[in-house]
Amino acid sequence: MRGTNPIAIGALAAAVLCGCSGASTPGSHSGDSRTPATGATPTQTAAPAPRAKKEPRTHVSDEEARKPRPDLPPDQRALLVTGQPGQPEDRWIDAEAAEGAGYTLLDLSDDWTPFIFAEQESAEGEPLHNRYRRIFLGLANDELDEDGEPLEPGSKNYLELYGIPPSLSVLRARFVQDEQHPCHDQESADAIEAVETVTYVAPADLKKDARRLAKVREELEKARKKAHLATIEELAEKQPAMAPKVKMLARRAAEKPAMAAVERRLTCEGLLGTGKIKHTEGIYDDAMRLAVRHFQQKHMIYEANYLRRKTVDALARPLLDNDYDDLTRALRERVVAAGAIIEDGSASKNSKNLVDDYLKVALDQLQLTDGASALAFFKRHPAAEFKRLRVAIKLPPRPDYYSDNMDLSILVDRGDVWYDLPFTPDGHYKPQPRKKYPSLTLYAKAGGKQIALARWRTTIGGWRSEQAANGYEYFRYKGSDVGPRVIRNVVSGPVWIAPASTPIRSLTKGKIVNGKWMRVVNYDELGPGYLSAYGLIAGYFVVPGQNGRPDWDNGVRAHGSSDYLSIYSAAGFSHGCHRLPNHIAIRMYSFILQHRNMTIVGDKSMNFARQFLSKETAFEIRLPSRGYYYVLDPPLPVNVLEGEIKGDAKKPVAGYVPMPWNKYPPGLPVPAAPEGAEAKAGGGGGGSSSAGGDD
Amino acid sequence: MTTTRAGRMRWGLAAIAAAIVLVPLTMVAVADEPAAPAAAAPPAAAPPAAPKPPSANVRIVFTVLPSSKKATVNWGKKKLGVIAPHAPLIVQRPRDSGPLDVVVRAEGCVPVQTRAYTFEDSKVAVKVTPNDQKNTLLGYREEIPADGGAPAGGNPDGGAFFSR
Repeated sequence: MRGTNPIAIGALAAAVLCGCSGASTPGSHSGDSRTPATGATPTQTAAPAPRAKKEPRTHVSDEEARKPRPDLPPDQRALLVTGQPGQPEDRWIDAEAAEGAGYTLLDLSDDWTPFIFAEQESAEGEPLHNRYRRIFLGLANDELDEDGEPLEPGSKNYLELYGIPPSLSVLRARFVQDEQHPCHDQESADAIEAVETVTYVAPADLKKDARRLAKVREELEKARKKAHLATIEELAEKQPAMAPKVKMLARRAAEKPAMAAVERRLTCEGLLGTGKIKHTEGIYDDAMRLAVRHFQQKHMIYEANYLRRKTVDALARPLLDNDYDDLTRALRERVVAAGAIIEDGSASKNSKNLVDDYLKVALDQLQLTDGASALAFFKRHPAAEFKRLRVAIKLPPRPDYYSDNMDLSILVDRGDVWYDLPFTPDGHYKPQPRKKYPSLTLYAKAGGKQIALARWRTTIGGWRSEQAANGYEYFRYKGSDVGPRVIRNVVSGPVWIAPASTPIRSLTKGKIVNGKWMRVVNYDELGPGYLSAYGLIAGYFVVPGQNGRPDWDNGVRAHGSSDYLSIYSAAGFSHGCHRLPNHIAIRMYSFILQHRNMTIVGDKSMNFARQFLSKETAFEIRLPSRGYYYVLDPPLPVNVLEGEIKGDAKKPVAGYVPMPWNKYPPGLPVPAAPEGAEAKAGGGGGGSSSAGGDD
Repeated sequence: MTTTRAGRMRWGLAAIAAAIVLVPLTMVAVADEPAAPAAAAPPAAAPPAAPKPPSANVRIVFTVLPSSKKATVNWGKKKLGVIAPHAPLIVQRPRDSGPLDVVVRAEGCVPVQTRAYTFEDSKVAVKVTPNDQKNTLLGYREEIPADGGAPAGGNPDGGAFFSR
């Protein structure tokens, strides 16, 4: 490990220990109350903007806080839901008084964002705008597309799966519309519930599949006649060897009405038959695939784009039930933000789950206990009210180890690691099974103990395609560094500066521009954006520089990602970075920033431009900003464990490896793979001067 | 949301102002949106500490390198205008209205697809490459001859790597 100095790491860790002062009481929920950072960091290029600590709130009695104040403007009031269960009574109260009485203000406004995109100010009170905030809000409110351009009327952004939950206004509209068009009947629900999944048959294989089924049917029929039985079900009973085939036919028969019910449901929900792609009944074609994908995105279903169990289950449920789940998920992120908590029960079997506990408390106090009560809530509150709506809730006290400046650290365990090539010489896939997958754990040290707050599955690097200087693609092992590091810079709306070795094919995309379809630079991949290589937020792993030298950045980050299948699938890998689903990365970094000393640098502008050639057109990447920088001071300690090395190779193969199925000009030598941070892992756009990617 | 980067923008605005003065009248501002009326400027009596509200529009200055070239700039179906030799094309767009993905075409050169942003005033200097020099661009590759290439061709270890 180049440049690592254990003494420096130790010193940093000691600094972190000394810095744990517990400025706020554990029970308070002043998640946005921060102590100003002191001292410059080696990577800072803009004037630091320490955050001002809020004045302590005056104690207010509960009775005083609950006094009705319908006269207050939306900015000064909060909604308190009172009344017996099932008979909610809404009361506007003074928001500041409510906070003084120990209430937490849960922000239900349409302009809510997680902490990482919140409006921030410098120490001098100057606004430090985040370029991506406007787009985040536009996406959450179904007003803008990923580029920040107006969304076509009636279009929906279903982006919760990618870290952008819908605003309460969007959810309100969903509830109101779905009450009027239930799209749910018992016959369809029964048909869908009769199956666990619907077998995918590619449109090109339909005839072949039909022939295969007919052959099985014929075979069973012959056997039935021969056995003198009345039905093939009896045959299965008498001849167990035939049972799997009988079962398969029955399952496939049940899938037909289920498929028809799914089509009706998706059509009614406005997801099927509305686009330009035509759907043929009974066939899982592109239109159907798109509709299912939108349905999965709408309801945050992490599943491959087929009619599998979770998707089928959700399709069988009444719309308001799904809507209620959507609402609880949207509220969960807001409760997490309001409480500035992170423990989601993922650390171990018996670990704390403050996220669910707090959410339940919030839902109970707001009397949002099911779809019907949520619909009633939305009917009581018109859409315009959500422009500025905060509700007052009383959350349980937070654990004792909470403070404004927690002794946090991250441990990445790489799990089972394979360095062998995943292909045979003739290009056949060679399985590399893993029992232990990589994980990222966030720890807090308190009372001499390390407390695991949350543990999530993540990614490590593996074999990836790279484009060599000769324009051809080769394989290269993109590993994840091992050993101690720190995170100094946390960047919201980060930009990934694609290394020169990025395959060109991934750098362009088709887009309708001002009424004309054309190929453009694929900024989805570069960011800022929920689809970008770094997701919605990234923490940059570096080895801290010493004696005036800059940090050493090898391009590895722990970042959000829209590519959830790469995180959760058995064969998922990154280019060396540690990916987390966007919403988890947002939670984690929001928590870290709210519980550590940090400085807000704000938008870090740059003037990056690079051209590349693709099919007779030069495409120019233009990036005006690196993203919105927060600097942790002291930086957050990170350690990456090597994991267990599987297979024959005990070290990664260096350099390029030709792809067995690729054609290369005869005699073309395999070029040397570029070294240095810019070519590694996440490529450029790093947080320090040594990161590369500044060209 | 708006952004204020008054200090940083000062030089940029000065450069744009200079460019406008230098541009022949016929070349001035092919404006996609009309310029903000003068009345939109903050009143002279405004207190000095008050933050200056950002203008409703941003200016995007397109130039081409080498500057002796003439180039057209297209935004989807619409021709935004022409960059004449040594004369920029200046476009106004509503602030924060999303990016402009444009194509810049100069005769005898590889067309360039690039992007202009509307967060703030900006300059987009586009380098154009003559067709006969496109092999200097990243991503250019030698074509495979008609008789096809050899799989994994040129591997210095003769494919031994795969037979480990």
